[in-house]
Amino acid sequence: MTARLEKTQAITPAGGRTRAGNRAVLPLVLGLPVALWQLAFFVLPVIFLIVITFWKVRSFRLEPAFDLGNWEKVLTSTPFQRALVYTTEVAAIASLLCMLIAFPAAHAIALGLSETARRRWIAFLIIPVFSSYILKVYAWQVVLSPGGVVNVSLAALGLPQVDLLGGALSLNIGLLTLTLPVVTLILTFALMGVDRSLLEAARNLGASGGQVLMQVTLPAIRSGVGLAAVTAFLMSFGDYASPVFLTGSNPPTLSILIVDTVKSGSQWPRASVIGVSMLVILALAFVTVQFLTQRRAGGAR
Amino acid sequence: MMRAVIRNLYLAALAIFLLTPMLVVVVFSFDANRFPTLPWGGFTLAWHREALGDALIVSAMWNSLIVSLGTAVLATILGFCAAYLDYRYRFFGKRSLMLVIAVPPAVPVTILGMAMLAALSRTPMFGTPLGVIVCHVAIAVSFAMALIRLRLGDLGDDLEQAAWNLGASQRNGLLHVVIPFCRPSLIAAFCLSAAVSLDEFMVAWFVGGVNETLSVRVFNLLLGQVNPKINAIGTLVLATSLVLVSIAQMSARVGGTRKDAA
Amino acid sequence: MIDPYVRLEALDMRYPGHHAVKDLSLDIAGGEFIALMGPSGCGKSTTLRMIAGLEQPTSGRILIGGQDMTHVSADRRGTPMVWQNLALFPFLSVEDNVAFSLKMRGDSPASRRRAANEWLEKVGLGGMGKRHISQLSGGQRQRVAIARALVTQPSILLLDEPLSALDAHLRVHLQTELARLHRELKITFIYVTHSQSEAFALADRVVVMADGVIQQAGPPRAVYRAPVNGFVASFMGMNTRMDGSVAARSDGMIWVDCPEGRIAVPDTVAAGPGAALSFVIGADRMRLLGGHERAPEGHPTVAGRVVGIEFVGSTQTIFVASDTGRDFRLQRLDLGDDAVLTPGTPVTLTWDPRHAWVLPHP
Repeated sequence: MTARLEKTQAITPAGGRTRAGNRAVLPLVLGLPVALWQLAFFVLPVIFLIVITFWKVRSFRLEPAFDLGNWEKVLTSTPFQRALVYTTEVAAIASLLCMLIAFPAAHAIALGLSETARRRWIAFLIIPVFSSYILKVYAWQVVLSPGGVVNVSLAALGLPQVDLLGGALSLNIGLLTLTLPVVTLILTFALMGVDRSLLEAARNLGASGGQVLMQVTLPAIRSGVGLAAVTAFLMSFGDYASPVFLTGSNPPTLSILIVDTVKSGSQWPRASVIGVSMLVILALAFVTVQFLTQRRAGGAR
Repeated sequence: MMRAVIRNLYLAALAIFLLTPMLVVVVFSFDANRFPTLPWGGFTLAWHREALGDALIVSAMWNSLIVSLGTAVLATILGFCAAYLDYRYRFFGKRSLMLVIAVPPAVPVTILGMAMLAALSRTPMFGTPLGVIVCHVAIAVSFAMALIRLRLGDLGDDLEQAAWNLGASQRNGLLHVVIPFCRPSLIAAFCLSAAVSLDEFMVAWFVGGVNETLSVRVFNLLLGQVNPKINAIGTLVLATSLVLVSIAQMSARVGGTRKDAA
Repeated sequence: MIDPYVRLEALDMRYPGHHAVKDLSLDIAGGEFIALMGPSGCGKSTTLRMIAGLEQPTSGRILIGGQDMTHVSADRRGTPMVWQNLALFPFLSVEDNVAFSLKMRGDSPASRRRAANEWLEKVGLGGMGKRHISQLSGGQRQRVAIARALVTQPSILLLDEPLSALDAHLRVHLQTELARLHRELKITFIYVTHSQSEAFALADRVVVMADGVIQQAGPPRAVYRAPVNGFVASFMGMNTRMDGSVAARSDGMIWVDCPEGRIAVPDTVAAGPGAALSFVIGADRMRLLGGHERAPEGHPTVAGRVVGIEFVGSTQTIFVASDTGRDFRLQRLDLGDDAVLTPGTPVTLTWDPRHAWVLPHP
């Protein structure tokens, strides 16, 4: 108790009259640049995006206004509604798939492997998170294409050709390439935090492997699972490369609608409306999952 | 026994799935065939040579170099400031500040790109490497801050106080004790920020205008026909990412081991 | 004390929900070796950190060499400290650790190196300047920390439990070393410790603290022999405390009625008949009566049984429970007769009544 109090007290050397200003200056010098930076290049652009949704386009130029027409037009338009439903559906399915594939892997890495092997796996999983996603999507494109590695191999075996590119399969392969490493890492870290003696105690008390999983492991990493699921959904929902290159933008997702609208140059306000709607949906998804995992945590106690 | 076999097979399948796209890019960059498929058309460096002879690609390389380095330097500096601020001080608005630093990577890049383009198109930074840098920093500072903050958690109060006690002003304590102590994490933050910037294509595409980075060049090539040069650039990009991320990981691990001379 | 070098005036340190140091005043002479001691949480470390400028007192003043230092920042006080966990910079070599404060002062690299190596020589680490901190043993690191603090030739050295992390053997060794350094440098050492043996072995004066208040300050011998109150008496450890009521006064002695009988103590306090009174007897003042030996006239005797024996080097401490249920301690040279002193052996204790000490403030 005392130690903790002393620690928070002793954050600066006792300053004198001569240097009384110094104590306030250093944090300001450190904090102001980064605060202004994030304000100028992240917060303001996002706010500006929201503002633009109310602006008008007149003879190809943006004009400040307060016009709810953009919102009305976009939200009631069939292409948007279709894209919204489709994108949500795609993201939900991809997230579910990702969780189902990632969990056994994370379980194996966190609880089944030796310390060294686990560290190697974590290192291995971090690499794809930070190495060019667009190249990997391209690689899947050529692998799955009609003349690609898979079909050539099938032909060599005398099997019929399959149309792999342009469907749910190729899309999910692309999205999994994006989400699997991150989600597996999140679940692995969550599982590493589980008290192993808890699992052993459960086994010792006669619980089967499945029972341990459902009754002990999963409840223990509830918030980790929530975070992993939200991450998977967020990444799949906002992705652009996989839908473009693996399904040929057909049907278009919300991200594709945004890029097409922006690049065509005329309908900025409408693109902004789509963007802001996406942000709202993602925020809702985040809050919902947070609420679910937190509430259950409370209820379990 | 059986369980272990199944487990290892499962993990191996995952590894193959994650490695395949990267290997495809690298392997076929040396394939003499124009279209990357089987059977193997023989080893060639032609595509690499051709890529290096392509003026657009070479200028994209320069742009990527500038943008990645600039992003890495700035994100590391700002990330350190943010991490130290979070570690040392309590102030009004701290939570909000940490939030606007942490959140950008979670926003879909299409939306981020659109917002940044909308804001930057009204400034002279639009269409320049600088414009891409400022946007990439806003994204990468989140990773830099996280890595450095992790290391600061191991610093403890004593080393800094010992420095003050030995005559170091707060500024000198920061310079001669905190920063050297954080060096491994600064290296990690630098490399990871560079990797993030190198791989990001959407914001760079929106904001960079004609100044394409390598990832944007790849993206633009992809929008056209299959081009074996993509594999060649891709190999370069992947190798660079691999090196950067590996250095970052090794440095972060050095930082992760608790100070051995307390 | 004609010329106090360090003067603490009514120092007060309040944390939210915790009053660490209360109205503490203390004068420390130039060149004095003073030990602040007390149980953990008594405010001794906080006091030291206030002197170093690492904590700002809520009120009160700190004067060093006649100058008011209360609001001078830590880096300008010239009060280097040796830390309990050493706080050596892990990313610097031994030499650079020692030279750190010279670098902060702006000395040239050449003179820094020279001074650092001189000091390494003085603490017995000559030639180790280029090593990494992690390559040193615990005792060697301790010496680096001492050299690092002394390299600027300060007039004060602060030591915050510097030896508590070392094993017993090294502790004694470094204790001697510190005593030697203090003799040679003739500067003020302010030493915080919870160890009575360290404080007594090193300090010219000990200051016993409890609950943020100085209980007693004085030469180790005086504090040990004449504790002012029950807390100091029990903190000194090797005492037996007895309580009773005043029965009579005669010949410079007070007769006290205790459960063990009527016992004489020196007449040093003003206490009327019937007043409650406590006194202590040092463990080394106690004696065991031999088989048929009689206690000298006027020497009290207490009968009891041996509870246990503890050996510290050549001395032994014998724990005795009296028939009245009080715990007595007796310390003596190891006589080799402990075979007969197995637990349960009946014994009789005695002491010279002049060696009892009446607590002025029980």
